[in-house]
Amino acid sequence: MKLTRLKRGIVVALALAAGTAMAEETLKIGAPQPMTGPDAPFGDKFKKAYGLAVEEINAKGGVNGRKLEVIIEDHQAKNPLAATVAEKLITQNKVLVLTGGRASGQAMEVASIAQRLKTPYLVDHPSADAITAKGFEWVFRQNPTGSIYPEAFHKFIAEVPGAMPKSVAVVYDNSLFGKSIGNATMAFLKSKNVPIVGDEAYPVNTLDFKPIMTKVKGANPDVLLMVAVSTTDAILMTRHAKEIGIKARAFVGFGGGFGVADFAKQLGPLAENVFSSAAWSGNPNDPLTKAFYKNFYAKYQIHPHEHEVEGYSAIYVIADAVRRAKLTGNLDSDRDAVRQALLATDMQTAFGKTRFGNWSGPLGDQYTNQNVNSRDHSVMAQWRGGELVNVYPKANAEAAYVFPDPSKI
Amino acid sequence: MNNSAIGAAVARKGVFDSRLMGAAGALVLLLAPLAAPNPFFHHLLIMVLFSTLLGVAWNLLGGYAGQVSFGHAAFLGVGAYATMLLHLKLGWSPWLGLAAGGALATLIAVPIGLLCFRLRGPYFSLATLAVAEIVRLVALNWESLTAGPQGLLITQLPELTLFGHAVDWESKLPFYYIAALLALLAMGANHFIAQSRLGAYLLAVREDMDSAEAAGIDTVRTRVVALALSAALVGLAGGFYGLYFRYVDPDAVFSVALSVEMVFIAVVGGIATTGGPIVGAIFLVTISEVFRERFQSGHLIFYGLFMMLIVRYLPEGIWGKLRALLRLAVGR
Repeated sequence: MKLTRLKRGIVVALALAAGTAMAEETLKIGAPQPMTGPDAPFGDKFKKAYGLAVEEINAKGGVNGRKLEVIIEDHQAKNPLAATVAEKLITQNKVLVLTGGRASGQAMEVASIAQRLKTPYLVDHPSADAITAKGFEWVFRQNPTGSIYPEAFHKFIAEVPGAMPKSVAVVYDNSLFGKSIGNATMAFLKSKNVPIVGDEAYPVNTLDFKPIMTKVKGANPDVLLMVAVSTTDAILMTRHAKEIGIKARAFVGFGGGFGVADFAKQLGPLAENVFSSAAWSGNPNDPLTKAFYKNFYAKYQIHPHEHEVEGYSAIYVIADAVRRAKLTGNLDSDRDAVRQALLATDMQTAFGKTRFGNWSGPLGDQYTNQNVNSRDHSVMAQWRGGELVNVYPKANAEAAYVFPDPSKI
Repeated sequence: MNNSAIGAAVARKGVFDSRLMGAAGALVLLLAPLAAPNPFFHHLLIMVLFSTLLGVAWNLLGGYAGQVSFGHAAFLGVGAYATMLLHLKLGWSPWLGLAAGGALATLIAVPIGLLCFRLRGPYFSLATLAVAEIVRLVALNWESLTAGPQGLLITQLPELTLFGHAVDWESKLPFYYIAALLALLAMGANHFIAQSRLGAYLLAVREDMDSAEAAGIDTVRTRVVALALSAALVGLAGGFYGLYFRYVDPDAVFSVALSVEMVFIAVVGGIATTGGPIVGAIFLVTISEVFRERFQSGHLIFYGLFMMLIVRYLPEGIWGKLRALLRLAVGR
């Protein structure tokens, strides 16, 4: 009896020892993501992206001999839950660093918690300017902010001879995304003295854009800018704009919905030559990005887009920082070491060049630890025969742009 | 009337019990954080107390008076925004703002009650849904005041010295005790109302409006008072939400899902009981946490299933059932 108890005790002690040894071995990255609820498909994209990066890094021996582990916690796209799980990851799971967030509201909560609990947080996708404009020194962001999103379009009209619009109508949704982009592009156009003949905000998931587009047609804009956070809005508003017969030299869409395959599938010929100032998903001419697209497809049989590139690259940025950080085993000082290492980050990922710095955004926001290359992470693409191809700037182009839209002259 | 008389009698008989329970409850609340010195555990306790506050507030109106609101998030949001705006724009102390949030929520609630309670039928329920949506749209579009979809963020709470000690806002304990105080306040208020004339009036209104009116009860006023109290408590809870999470945006505090959660807490715990909401809150917070751990992406299915089972087999709620069993056991 005594012996069995002793034996049992030894087994338990061994198991505990093994457990702590293993816990010391893995480097934990926490990622609050929506795994259920309306945003679940996005959570799944990031899960796959993190999975591929972790698999690749661990296959090469991990980081300084230790394996990486990403712990995903579901926040169901709810803000209070995002705060709850961020806190749990930091205090319970004792993660070294955080990433993820998915939408801006949840990322604000995670950033606020990360700042308070002194844990580095690398934002991989959420775009609200405020996240890196509140002076949070524990928060870093590799992707561009909402107000930098239209940068490629601004370069296009400023640099291409004759492309500067004579007048513009802007139709945008009243979400944070829609308003950031609408305000940023209108501020730029005003600075170039372009008359804004239409300024129309609509609620997300509007079912009928004909009244708005009829009004826009009356204003007869030279260029029509459309902003949509929702894919159905993007498709529907383009359809209604074209059906109403707006004669613009260019139709430019901002938002993921203007770049998905469904856009061409559902609109058919109406999609032809529509510009998509899409989210940055890496430079298709860059070998690192090319390799990522190939490997991701080989593993999951899914063509990756911006979310996957962002999630995948975030893990590489973190791995790079952890590799350079001097870890001592004391979680508080290790987290600070990772933060210091992130400050010194200067690397190329599948997403693009990444270096964090403090600078001033297009709308005057003072950024902290925002990727200084963000202005280059913006691209214009155009729909051609059912395919979306990058057309501007030249360094990222896959084909030459068609402008003005010949079908509308 | 019959029912209300019975209800009042039962409540009176239970005075001693409930005082004892109240004292025991307060003691448990005082000591609970010591059970584990772990911030996440404390966070869960705070969420339980916050949910309790919401459940009690909803129960006052929905449980006792039988006036089902699907828009209580409106009051929560108004409380949260008021507290944060008064602090951010006018530099008010957040604790004053908390009270102001409760007052403002009441101010918005009373006219709805005065208008809708004159009508019979589902008008009040529908109106609350509509009001919640209107307030959400105002918060979304009045950008100069509310910062629109960007939301409001408090980066640092002002220092506060209590008994010569600076309160550490980075720790969970101050928030825990504030939440505990608010929840106790709400449950105490609920307990006294349930025993008072107002409580009897509310039950009378719920059971039979015509008889209540025939007995001389001003049914409109009675229900407006219940609504005002309920809204004030939810407004306070909203202020607490703002200070605890330090970030609000329209979709987070004005969502229909939040309104429905308040209904769940009361229903799962036990409608028209003082202890119901805290039992409901403990159950829902723990269960959603445990299910999320165990079932990962399938957890909402189990959560939904659990809710269906409760509604089907325990319509009186967990606490309602337990209380009935206890009474049976002690032969009352």
